[in-house]
Amino acid sequence: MWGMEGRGVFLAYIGSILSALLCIVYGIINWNKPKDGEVKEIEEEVKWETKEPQD
Amino acid sequence: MNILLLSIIVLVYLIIIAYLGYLGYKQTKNATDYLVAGRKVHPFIMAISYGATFISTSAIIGFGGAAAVYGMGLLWLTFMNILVGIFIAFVIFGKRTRKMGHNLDAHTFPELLGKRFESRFLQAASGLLIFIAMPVYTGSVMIGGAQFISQTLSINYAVALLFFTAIVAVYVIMGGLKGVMYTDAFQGVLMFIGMSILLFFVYSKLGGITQAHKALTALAPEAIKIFGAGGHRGWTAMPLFKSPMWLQLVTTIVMGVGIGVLAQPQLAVRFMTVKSDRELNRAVGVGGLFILMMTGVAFVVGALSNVYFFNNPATLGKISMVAANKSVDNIVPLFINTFLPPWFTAIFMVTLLAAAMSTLSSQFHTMGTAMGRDFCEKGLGVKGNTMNITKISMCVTIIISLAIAYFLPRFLETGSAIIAIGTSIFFGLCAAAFLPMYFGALYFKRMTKAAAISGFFSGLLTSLFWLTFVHAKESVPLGICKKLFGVQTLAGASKWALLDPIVVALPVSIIVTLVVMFCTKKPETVQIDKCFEGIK
Repeated sequence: MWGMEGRGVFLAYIGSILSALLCIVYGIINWNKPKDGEVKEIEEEVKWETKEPQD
Repeated sequence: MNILLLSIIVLVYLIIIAYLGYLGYKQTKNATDYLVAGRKVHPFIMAISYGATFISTSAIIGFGGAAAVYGMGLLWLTFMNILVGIFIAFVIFGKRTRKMGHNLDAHTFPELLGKRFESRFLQAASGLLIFIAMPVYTGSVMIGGAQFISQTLSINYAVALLFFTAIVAVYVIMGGLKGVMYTDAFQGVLMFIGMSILLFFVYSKLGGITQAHKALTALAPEAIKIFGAGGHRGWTAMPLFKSPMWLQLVTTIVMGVGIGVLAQPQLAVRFMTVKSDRELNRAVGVGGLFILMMTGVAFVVGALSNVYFFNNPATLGKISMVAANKSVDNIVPLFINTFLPPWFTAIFMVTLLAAAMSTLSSQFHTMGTAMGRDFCEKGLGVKGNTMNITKISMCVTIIISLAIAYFLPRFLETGSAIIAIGTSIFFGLCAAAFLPMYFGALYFKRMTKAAAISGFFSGLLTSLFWLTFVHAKESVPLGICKKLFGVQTLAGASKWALLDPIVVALPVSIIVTLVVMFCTKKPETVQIDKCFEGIK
């Protein structure tokens, strides 16, 4: 298995690459989600501006 | 190495860092900017900053050296770092942390917990734990960074420590979290480039991926000859199940660090720096790839260094550990210095400097906010300007860390052990004290203040007991067990002495949290509705 002796190490090697791929695919699929994000962002920002902590 | 070339590269690097720190300073107008970077950070900066904070020089040098000893089994930690440290952290914890942080107007990790459970005591206690325990971890990172600078530039350790700390302190104190995250992002990009070149060089010089692995597999008899008694079966195989090496690898390295990362205050606060879940979704991909290229490359290269040293005429027949005079922390620097071209050595040195500085800056910031905002302001009720209180607190915590980093290596000769111990103590304590409460805060509406406080103290005390009296890795150098009971560990020669505190303290904390949660009265609906507003 790619020159490795043990199955445990091979799984760790592949697992690391696959988990990074999972992150990348998740990031791409959800790139613009949630779709109603912008409206909520504006609402939240307005709320935040009025609640600034003591500076 | 060409000192002139290195000096020029370091100078250019420092000028860019100074500029980015200044940018953070200029853009910091209020406490929200200073504490959570204005909550409008770009997903790329957030992801790289998270990754660069996560990965310190000791992760590359220390754990890379460990891979030269344990072998590629360490890649299970990379797997955990990506799946748990990035995917689960961002998707399961990050989104709710961000939203709840917004709902509760929380500016720090302890403040999130304190406001969620309506307990100033919990906020102050969490802040105090960070303030007391984090300097040990920070001191370890400072020792690693300063030792590396003093060896590379052949300067005095104290001088290296002072300059290194002063540079980071200035941009953290002046620029707040914006300064920290901007510099982190730049340092992260440098780290990514450095590690990518390293991976390419190593595989190509050793004849390709499979060929390199085959050469390492062929060295298994050497590994068994030297480490066989501990359970080693070669660098491309896992150690023997339940052997001392297996226990060390799986419980301390893979689980201790792999799970511990979820409850790191300096990382959790980053979820509150972005304005929506969309930024977190985008950051997941960047973060996953970044961590793969950091620890994944460090562990593969660390293990493969054995092939190089064993076949290199100057160290013929010697494995990495022997070639580096039995100093695990010297393996990666020695490998870089002898195996790679001089121009790359200079670049790699800056990569390591960036790794140390990016972790350190976030530690300074988190310690300062924990003491200033959480302990002094909320716990002791100190009135005043949040930014100024935090800045003063930051100075105090930096001086404490500096003292630890200066004096600790004088008392203990094993510098490499200090770095590993300091890191694992902090990771273990945070996981046991914070993780059940943090998860409960985000997911269980039924979670009560009493359950949170009980889980916090049971996890903290169990962890402290285990590392002081049972886990040999800490109990032996601490020496408290020896003084009180005349033995180095209460576990004697049994395998309990090898079991990491997190394996015991985390389940204890989870059980106590759950039991108390179901034995106490449900929290007020009004507070729960406020916390979970907009959270499905």
